[in-house]
Amino acid sequence: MNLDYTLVMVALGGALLGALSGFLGTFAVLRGQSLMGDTLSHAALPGIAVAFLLAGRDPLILLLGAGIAAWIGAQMVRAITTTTRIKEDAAMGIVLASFFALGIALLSYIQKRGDASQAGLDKFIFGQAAAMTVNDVLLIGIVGAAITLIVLMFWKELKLITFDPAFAAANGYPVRWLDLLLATLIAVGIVLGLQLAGVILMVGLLIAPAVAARQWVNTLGKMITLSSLLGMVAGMVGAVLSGADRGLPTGPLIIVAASILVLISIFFAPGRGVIYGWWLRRKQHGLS
Amino acid sequence: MTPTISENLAHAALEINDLTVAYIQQGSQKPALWDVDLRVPEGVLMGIVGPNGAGKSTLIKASLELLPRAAGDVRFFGRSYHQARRQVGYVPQRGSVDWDFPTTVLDVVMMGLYGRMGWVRRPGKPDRARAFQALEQVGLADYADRQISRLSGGQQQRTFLARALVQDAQLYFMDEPFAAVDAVTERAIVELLRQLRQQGKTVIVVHHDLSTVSEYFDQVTLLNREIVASGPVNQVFTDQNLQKAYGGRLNFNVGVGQVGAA
Amino acid sequence: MAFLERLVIDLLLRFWSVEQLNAALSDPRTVALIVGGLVAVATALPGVILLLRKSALTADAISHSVLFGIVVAFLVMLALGADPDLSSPWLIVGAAAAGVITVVLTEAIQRSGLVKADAALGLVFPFLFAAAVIMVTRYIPNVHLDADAVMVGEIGAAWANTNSYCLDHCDEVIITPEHPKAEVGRRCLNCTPGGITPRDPRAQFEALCANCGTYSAAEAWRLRLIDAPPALIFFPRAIITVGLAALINVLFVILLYKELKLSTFDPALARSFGFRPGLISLALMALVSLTAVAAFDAVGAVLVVAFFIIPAGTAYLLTDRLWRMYLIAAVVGIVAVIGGYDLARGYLMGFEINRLLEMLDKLIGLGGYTEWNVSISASMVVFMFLIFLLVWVASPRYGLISLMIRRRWQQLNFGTQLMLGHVYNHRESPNAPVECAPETLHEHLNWSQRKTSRLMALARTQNWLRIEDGLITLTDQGEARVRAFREG
Repeated sequence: MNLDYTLVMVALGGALLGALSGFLGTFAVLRGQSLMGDTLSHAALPGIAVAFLLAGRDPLILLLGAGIAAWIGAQMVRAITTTTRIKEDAAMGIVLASFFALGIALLSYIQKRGDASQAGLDKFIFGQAAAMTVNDVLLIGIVGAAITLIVLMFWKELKLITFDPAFAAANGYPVRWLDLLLATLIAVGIVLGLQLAGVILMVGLLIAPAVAARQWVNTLGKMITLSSLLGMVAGMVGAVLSGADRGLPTGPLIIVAASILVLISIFFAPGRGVIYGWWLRRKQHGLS
Repeated sequence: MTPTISENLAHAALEINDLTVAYIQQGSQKPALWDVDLRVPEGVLMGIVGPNGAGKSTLIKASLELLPRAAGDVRFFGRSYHQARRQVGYVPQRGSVDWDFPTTVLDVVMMGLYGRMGWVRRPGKPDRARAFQALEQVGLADYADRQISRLSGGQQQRTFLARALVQDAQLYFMDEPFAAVDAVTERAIVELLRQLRQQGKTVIVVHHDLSTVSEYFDQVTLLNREIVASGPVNQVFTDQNLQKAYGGRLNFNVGVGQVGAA
Repeated sequence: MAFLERLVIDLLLRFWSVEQLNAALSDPRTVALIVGGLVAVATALPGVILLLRKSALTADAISHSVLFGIVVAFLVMLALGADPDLSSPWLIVGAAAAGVITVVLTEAIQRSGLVKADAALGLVFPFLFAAAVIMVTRYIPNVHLDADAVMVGEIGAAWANTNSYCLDHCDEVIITPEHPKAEVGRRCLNCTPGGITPRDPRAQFEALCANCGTYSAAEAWRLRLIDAPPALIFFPRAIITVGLAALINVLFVILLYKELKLSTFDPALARSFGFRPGLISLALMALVSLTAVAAFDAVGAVLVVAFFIIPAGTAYLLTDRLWRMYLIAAVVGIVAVIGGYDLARGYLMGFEINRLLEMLDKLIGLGGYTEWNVSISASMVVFMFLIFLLVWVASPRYGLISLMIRRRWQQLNFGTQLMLGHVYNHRESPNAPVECAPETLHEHLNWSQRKTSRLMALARTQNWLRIEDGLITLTDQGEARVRAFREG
């Protein structure tokens, strides 16, 4: 009974977080912000450590710390690219590696204090679904529902600024604010997902479902639906597998599951995939 | 070069006064447009030509407040852009968006209606009908449900034009609509421009091909960071002005010599 | 590898004694600094090229995929029954090849057009990294390759993983009965209890040597069979691995200096000279992979990215010359290694971090734990970041302070230019009385009155314009300035 309850929580949490990542990842991929997602997730680590040192292990506080650190990281990337001649890729590399190192240094301090694993901070590195409690699942559900509601409410505006921001601005939409809204939603999704996938691999959970979904469907509505579904599958599979075998970290399992979905999609998607491409070329070759 | 105020008391479709736009390069400001004065009367087709880097696209973007202005003022029908936005349509460069975006042709055209739809509201049946009608106008009715990544360059351009048409504006800005399009599309665009003029609309087109300027446009502006000349094609599009706008580069362009003689 | 280690040891012995060397090489700090310094040099040089080629994230990509290569090579060696060792040249080359192959594959996916370039990068490397982590936790029962080491390496333990070399009194000792140290005795062959005793004249004896046999030098010394101890050197393995990587990288950037420069700044021209930028690019990837593998043991797969990018980024803010960038990047890396080691042990440039922790403990409560002792490689990266921040703020040419000063000056300069240009354009037009009136100028420029009058005052004190009959007119200097600006 007890085991079942844990496994149900783990599966539910994994499914919800996977779906949310797939949902938001659609926008991250279409806006070309995949690697910014990677930077944000790495940058969150020192925030988690500092929040723990200041306020203890309340999960909400830890997430808040993660969010603040990720936000500082994003601002720093922006500041480096706007005030120096360092390009965005290098700026992201610098911030990503530095913040991650700061996080690791702080975690090793906490660890030597002797209560890092009790505090469950290790789970933020490679992800650990087994630690999911009913409160975590509730929090994910509520925040996820709020995010989904906001995106659906501003659906056409978000679609427009993603496809053609200049046209949106010329039509009087406050593109900067909408950008900020979308970036904030994505950041919240990333921070929530860290406990499942970990800071190193979160980017995979964010973008793999969206990339896989894009191969099968041709409209934004269908893409975001399918991406959420694929994310849900990957999240649940990874969470349950690692929940059943405590030795395996959740993040890597989820990423492998999601990557298999991507591989299948890239090869077999009708009208677009690699195999379709071969078939098309052979047909054209035969005709000419 | 600035028309005197007595020349036309009615408000011009577009009136640019002393517009300077700067871009920042390694922390230092460089002018992209330099103290530009321009007046476009209502109901004309105006071509904007000039060498690469002359600030043609910048002129449009700064007018639409997509870029910050260092100095100067832009008026549309005598009003600010904020007040006149519904009357202004915009066709960005085709290359400025990702054509692998998951959406259909009809959906892109409907984006032209978002501006007047207001927040949160979704497009409905009349909007679809309106978008479909615009697609018919540009000859893409059969492509309404096609994924935009499956369009040719010319079809992409016509999709953008259809999107501008549903905006039902009085003044249109088009950024290089003729760039790298097929002959069918080029004819379709020219036909569309003439229809718009017949309806009394004003169209301002950034253009590259000097040999077609006198055929397509009523008025032309020669731009090279400053206004070199602006006005009716037969008065302004002279060898002398072209020489001023393009400098030495003109000598290499055979097509221009023919235009100057015409 | 052994040959190289021997070569280095012989060289070092020209300057120091065996005892001095052993003392130095068994000191964790010294070894960590040597290994770290070599890692810094090995990574900073290709890092500069990566940064200039706008492919900084390739370092990120490669370091992740290289982990996959290392783990697979590790498993293959285990399956073959060999003892896998991270400093084995086979393992290094195999893992580096995996890095190169995955980078080439990613580029192929990017070219297919099915996936955007940035997303392709974000797909392939997390997948390989995830697969590698699963393999590590599942199949590798080895203390040298756990999940922590994967991230941050074990530079603090580099001193303990050594090869030993014997320099003197190294020969095997063979003890024969004639040897002076031989413990020779006799054994009675026909003695029986109650019958023949050893003292009996009938007793027959054979000579017997208790300790005859072959001994290694160390054993012989332990058993005191020789008078002087063998001179052994314990040489940390990591030094040669990362040292070799550093050497190859130094040779690469020196020998191919102009080829790298040209193929980075102008690939088309480089191609026309027959430099084959594609080949150079591939060589660079191979070198970055090799370096990442060599540095893996010391700093792990994730933090090595920082060693590639941050020193290069710092150098980029200090100089415009390529060779200076190489030099500065290497120096920044080395300084960060030294500063970072001490930072990990609680000292930031002479300041004791424990003091700060004690203070914080009193203020907010750290549970009384006030001893700062943290991951060494992570601290090196943090120190690197501190240097970067310092340079970003204070670099004389590209720093924030000089940028702010320059921007302020630029704004004044650009503003007055704009004003002079406006007057210049309208000075002969019929609208001049409207356009060039000092009272209404701000309306035409759409500026605030304050900004306009301030800039006008500035231009007047510089004698670029004057006000005549209620009209702004340019002086000769003012006109010259406008013309000079437009032509420039």
